[in-house]
Amino acid sequence: MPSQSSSDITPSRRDFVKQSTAVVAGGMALATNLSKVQAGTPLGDKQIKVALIGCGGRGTQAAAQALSTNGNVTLWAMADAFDKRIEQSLTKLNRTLEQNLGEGSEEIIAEKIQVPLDRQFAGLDGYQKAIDSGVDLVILATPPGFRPPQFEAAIEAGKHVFTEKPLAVDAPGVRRVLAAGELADQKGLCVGVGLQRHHQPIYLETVKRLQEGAIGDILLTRVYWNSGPLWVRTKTDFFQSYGHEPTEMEYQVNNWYYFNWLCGDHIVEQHIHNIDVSNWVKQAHPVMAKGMGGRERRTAPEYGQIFDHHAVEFTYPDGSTMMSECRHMDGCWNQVAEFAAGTKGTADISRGKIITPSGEWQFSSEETIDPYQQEHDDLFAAIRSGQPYNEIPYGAESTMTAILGRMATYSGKLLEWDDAINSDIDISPKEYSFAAAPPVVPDKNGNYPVPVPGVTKVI
Amino acid sequence: MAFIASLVLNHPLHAKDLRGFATENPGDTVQSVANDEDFMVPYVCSIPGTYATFEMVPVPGGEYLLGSPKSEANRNEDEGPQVTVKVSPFWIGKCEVSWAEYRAFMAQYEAFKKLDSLRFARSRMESAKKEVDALPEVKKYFDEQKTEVDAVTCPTPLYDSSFTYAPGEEPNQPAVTMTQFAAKQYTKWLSGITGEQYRLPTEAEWEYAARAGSETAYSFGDDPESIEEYGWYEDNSDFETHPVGSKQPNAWGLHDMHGNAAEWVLDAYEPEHYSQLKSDISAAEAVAWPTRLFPRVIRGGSWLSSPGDCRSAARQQSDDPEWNLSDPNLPKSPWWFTEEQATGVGFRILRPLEPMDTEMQKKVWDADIKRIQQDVADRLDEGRGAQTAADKQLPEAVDALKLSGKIQ
Repeated sequence: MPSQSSSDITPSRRDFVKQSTAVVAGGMALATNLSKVQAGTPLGDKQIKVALIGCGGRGTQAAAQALSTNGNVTLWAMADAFDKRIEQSLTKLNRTLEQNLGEGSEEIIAEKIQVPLDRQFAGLDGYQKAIDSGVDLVILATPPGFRPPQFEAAIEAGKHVFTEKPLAVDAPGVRRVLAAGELADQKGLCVGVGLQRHHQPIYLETVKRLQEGAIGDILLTRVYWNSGPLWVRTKTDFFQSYGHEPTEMEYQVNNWYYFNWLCGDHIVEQHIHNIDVSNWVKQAHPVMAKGMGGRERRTAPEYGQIFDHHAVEFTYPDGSTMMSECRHMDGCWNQVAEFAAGTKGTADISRGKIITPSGEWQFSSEETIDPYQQEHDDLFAAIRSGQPYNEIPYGAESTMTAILGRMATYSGKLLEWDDAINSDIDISPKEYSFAAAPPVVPDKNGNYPVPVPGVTKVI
Repeated sequence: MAFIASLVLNHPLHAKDLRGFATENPGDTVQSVANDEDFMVPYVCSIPGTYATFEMVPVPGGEYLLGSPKSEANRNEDEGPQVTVKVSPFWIGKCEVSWAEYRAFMAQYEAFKKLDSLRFARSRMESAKKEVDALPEVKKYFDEQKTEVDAVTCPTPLYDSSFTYAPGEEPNQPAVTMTQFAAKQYTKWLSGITGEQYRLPTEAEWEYAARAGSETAYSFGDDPESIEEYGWYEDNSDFETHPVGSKQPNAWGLHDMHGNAAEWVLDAYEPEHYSQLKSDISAAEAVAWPTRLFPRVIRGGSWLSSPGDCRSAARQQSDDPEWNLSDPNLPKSPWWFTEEQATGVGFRILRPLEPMDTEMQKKVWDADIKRIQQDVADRLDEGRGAQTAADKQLPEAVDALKLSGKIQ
């Protein structure tokens, strides 16, 4: 697989800095100051030791991808809220490497995966121990609500990071991540964010053309993640998996998708991918949002408190619009895609198609590239060559955009970016322990507090 | 014949109670196959508990030449040498399994999950026991379940349906992008709830059905140009699949054997397999039972294929690492692929006249290698999969859950 040069990342980063200094008036300045960016020490062909924090399906795959990058990479430590997940993840990784490398590869695998019991850290405080276990890079694949404290800890400890999206679930969390992202620059640390469309040739090529004016000024973008429902893990499922009834905190962490302090709602957790593409194309973030949403089908207690559909109209600084829809319902019209309409044409971004009166451009490629592998290849190449590499600015901006959308649907009000990013409503728990009470608890019927448009306060 | 073996049955089978039989000769207007005491006839089956239906047509037993002669245009080496294969009678889907049918299966996810959870919890948690006791159909379903042998997994909800549905999602378009395991599980579910035994065709059965007595490159002759009337392929598909059965059928009334969706069969792909077969072998003996995840055989070509790849003897092979390349999870989904090549792959179901014994049922319905078993077990354990027993009580249990509002 050809390596995507990390210089492809730089334009969007520079663009972000340019536009955000111009756009963000008042409130907090989102931009990092490029002059503060320190070049990291190139690691060259040295061994890179990795800690995997969050050992679910995505984290396990991310670890496998890190191990598949060019050069000497070793999985050194693992952490998860639940010990069983670490054990399973290790088994899966060993099995996958065996399948990929073939028979007789035991020695190579033993080199690549060195996670003895004393470097397996279970529990809600396991992440810090994994960070401190002597690694060079940390993979963060825990639920989004854990991201700000875990990312901060990794950067403070001087580690390179690959972090899954989204980067936070509330405005204080976004601000913490941005600050830690700046610290990463100062320390010469590389940070990759799991918005893999930025490493996918079809998007890179199409977005570049749109930014160069292929369809003129962009007046409207439309972005969608309308799909079926996801997994749900009930208290019984927990019992079945772990052999005992969960505490409320254990239950919520296991069934994390449905609790805002962990997930941020699906507009943040999943739809961020599409919202991020619009911001990327526009080279800006919205300044305003209004929208509607609710819980139509997912009303049972095991679906916690999140909505199952949102529709948001965002306004960019130039007055243009992003229409966003996300829905988790089966049996409905479905689409995961992004579109743009401009003064001189239209684009079906996710299918790499640009249509103008003078003709049509269609992205095509002989090769299929796995963008999830590519994002690791790019990050590790930067670490080895000592190039600055930090995807936090646009990752945080897109996270905040999605949070603004959620704030708009929860409140039913017209909201401004500056008020949203400066909000002090912090939905994280006071104490991270399985014995502690989570930030939301069920009523006597087992139901959790659900946002009510027109009533719920979000800022 | 090894394939038929003795009748050890999960479900009591009496010809009279089953679909697809007539005791009287139905006459020349109906395509039928005469047996000793009765006649196999076409039938339409409503999938219990759903709005979907499918149509099966009988195919007589017989023998034919598997593979293509060296003289055939566009022939590949793996299609020879030709071997005489004896095939027992069966019914086969008139059309490829459509989204209407496959989505009826996909729609069981929540129900499977709820049933699995209740079955586990009812002996351990008082609240679950009460829940089950209040739903007699569900209680009956649990009480009458014999073993876990009937357990079947449901495909997980689509992560990005716009990929899966890229070639079309209308109810009458063929279902595509599922793994062979998922297709096998579909036939197990359908068998469990209907009481008749469905499975994927073997490679030799598939070609026998596609040829419908012909010895030419296509069932309609040797001229690739004529495919226009019989199949959807790269030049006429306009980048999508088309309603099943919208082109001419072959002599046995089967549609889309050339093009539209390519079709999973049971066999592993081995390029030199035919050279290892004795002549006059039975279709059952000719199967290359898989021992690895891939490659496995896909037949018939698709909307993405050239006419040459849609020939009756043409063999394509699966490639899991390529086809699930951008699946972001590990293990990768045992039920769905993520790349374009797989959007041309679906399946058609077959029902053998002679019921299958328990050993054969396991072979054709369940995860056949350890890797698939492990991947499925991992997903189930993570709560990202759903499994329950598929038997005749299942649709009523699912209905009861819906009526009580426990699921939608």
